[in-house]
Amino acid sequence: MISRPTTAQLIDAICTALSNTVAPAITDATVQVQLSMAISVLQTTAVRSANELAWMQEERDAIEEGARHLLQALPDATALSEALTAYVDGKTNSLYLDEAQADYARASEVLSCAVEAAYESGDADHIAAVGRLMDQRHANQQTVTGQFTALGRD
Amino acid sequence: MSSAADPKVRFEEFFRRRSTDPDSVRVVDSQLITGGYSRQMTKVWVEESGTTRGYIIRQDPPPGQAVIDTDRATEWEVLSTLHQSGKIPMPAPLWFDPTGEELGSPGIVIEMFDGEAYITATRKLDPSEQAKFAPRLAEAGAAIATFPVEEAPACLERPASWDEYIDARIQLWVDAEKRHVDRDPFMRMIASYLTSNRPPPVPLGLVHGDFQIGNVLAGGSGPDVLVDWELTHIGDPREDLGWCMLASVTVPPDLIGADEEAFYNRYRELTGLSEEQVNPATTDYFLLLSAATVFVGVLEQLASLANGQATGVTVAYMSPAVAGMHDVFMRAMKRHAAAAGGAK
Repeated sequence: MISRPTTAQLIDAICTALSNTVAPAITDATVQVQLSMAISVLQTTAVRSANELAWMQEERDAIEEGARHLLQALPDATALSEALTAYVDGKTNSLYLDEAQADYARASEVLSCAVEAAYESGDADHIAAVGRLMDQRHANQQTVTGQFTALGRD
Repeated sequence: MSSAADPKVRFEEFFRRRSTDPDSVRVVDSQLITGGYSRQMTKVWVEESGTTRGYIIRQDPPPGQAVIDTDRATEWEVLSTLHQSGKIPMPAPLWFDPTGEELGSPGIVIEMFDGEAYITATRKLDPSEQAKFAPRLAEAGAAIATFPVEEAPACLERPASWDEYIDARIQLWVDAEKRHVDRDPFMRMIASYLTSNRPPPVPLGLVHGDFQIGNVLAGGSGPDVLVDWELTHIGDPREDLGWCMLASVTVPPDLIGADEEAFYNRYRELTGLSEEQVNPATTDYFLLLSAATVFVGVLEQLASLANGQATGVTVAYMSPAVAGMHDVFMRAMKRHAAAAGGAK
């Protein structure tokens, strides 16, 4: 397969052409907004294509470790325990996107259950620990999106 | 459905049927308004008996194109009831086409108000000058919050109590996450955070639902007016402040933050609510609580796209918008936790 230019480079090239060549030729304001939105979505997909498999793996590993620690402190957190078991049992470690996304979805459910268990416990350390996992996810999303400003609202 | 495919022709026929001088009616101009993520909105100028008047037509967009789905019949009842009350400054709702037979899709025709939205008016200003809009925004918000709930449109559901209402709004986050095609731990975290950090209650009241600077129009010599009532409901009035803060991040400027003290003082003065009930931390709480209305609708549209049932650039654009809202949620929780002396 062709790996150079990368997917991200191809998308970036298209975005540049759309911004510099196509956009100035459009006079209809509603179409201009649609094009700006399309470019924005393409830019985020470029970043995702370059990083998302690695990020999902990194987040999954951190979530699994964090969940195990939390369960040691909160052994009665049944939903968390069940979600972790489902994640571990279903884990494929595949690099095909559909399967990787399914692994990530199961890990995300573990994270949600960990958050709920931490808040139910009311323990500041547990809340801080799940907060760090959420910060990791948040930081990755921010790398994709940056500061989001709604287009066409003026 | 009208035989006229051209919207301008269809609109002309619509206005002609409602005129006492139909032969004189002519649509002289029409402009689709950008930024209507939910409804399709068109500015239309109509000449009738030698006089030109402006109208706004709010219609359902083609299926699969709207970011959130709302009901025009409910919106029409809300607009009619609130306008007839005379208690909230707003443009007059004029006509309703419930089936879309005349307008092409279900739609409402509203008089065009001669004034700029705060968003347009304030973006021209130096940031230091934006502060004068803070108390004006508070007055607009207070006009909604002080509307007598017993006079609210009959179509709006009345929650049994503040606690029951807040519980239901929190549960909305959990239920929507579980229904979604993707897992979203941010939503479950918000629900946990809201459950653990309830503010003091206030009386339930009217909530605009999309109170933001794009929906408040500067009235010049008269009062500023409020538009876009499709998400109106009975709830906690502080939801409007929370939603306004969220919107100010994705649609700046932040007019509350432009003069926070003036905003909150004026809002408390007009609503009678205390500093404990209304402050920047409670606004962050209600940012999280109120956001479910739009956020869940957006997620459902993204799910439709993921399932191949919807298309459209605007719907696809909601994917980065969701990430943008996650960012606002995380910041709001951190600010709220800092104000409360730590997360709990």
